[in-house]
Amino acid sequence: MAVIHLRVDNRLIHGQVTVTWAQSVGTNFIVVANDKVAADPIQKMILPQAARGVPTKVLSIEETLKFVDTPEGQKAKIMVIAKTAADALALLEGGIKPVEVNVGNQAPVQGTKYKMVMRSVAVTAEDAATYRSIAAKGFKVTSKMMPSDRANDFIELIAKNGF
Amino acid sequence: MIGIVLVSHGPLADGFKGAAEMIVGPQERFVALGMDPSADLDVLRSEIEAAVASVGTDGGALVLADLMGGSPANSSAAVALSGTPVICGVNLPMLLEVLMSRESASLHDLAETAFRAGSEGVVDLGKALAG
Repeated sequence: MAVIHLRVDNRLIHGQVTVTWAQSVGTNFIVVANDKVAADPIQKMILPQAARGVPTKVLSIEETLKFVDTPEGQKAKIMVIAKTAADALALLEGGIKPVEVNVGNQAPVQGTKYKMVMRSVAVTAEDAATYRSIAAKGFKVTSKMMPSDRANDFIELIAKNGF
Repeated sequence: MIGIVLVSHGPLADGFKGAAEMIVGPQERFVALGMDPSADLDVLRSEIEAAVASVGTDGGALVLADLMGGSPANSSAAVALSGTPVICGVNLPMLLEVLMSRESASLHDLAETAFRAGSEGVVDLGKALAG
């Protein structure tokens, strides 16, 4: 089965993810994929604790791609959490094929020219190009806050915001 | 006096502070940090560290977070790993007990008090009234 859901969320693992999303998408394994986070011993300790019982790995992008290809990775139903749009694209270019790609939280980065396209999703021109590249690979990108929300078209949403 | 830093999703921390001060009066060395949905967690972590440093100059500080596994608690991991107790699942009974004990308690004892008072504060009123 491997990767069933790719989530873009700069907060990585937190209540919203574990209480609602993990259960709704039916994941039995979470992988947080980010090079910097994977090199941070504090984050490597706290994130699995925050996952409320779902087995969790904190890996670099490359380690994530390798793990997905192992027998263990292939058997699991993995929710991969990307910190940024750029990380999400790198993972998709690396070959993961999630059924869904959902943008959860993207905090504005101080000093960049961003627009809040949703209450908790900031987009810059660079991000917009990245999301378009993701869509160009054939993935439908949504930005549902709750799993039960109606699926929207994130590319349409960013276009409406002038990107 | 041990300092208190409350950290929560949204307005909960401010709510707890307001409610507590209605009961035990205005408090010093007491910071409430509410996390916005669009928060950057590195910024939040720095704010928590700064709050701990600012209120903790007289015997240290205790951090009370709303939810284990939530971003406010996750952002408190750094201080938790460097000697500042962080108790998750703050409720008003816990907060009041802590505010009333912090003049004289050691930091370690205050954390134990918080832990115990939080659970002891959960009471079934009907059963209590029925004796």
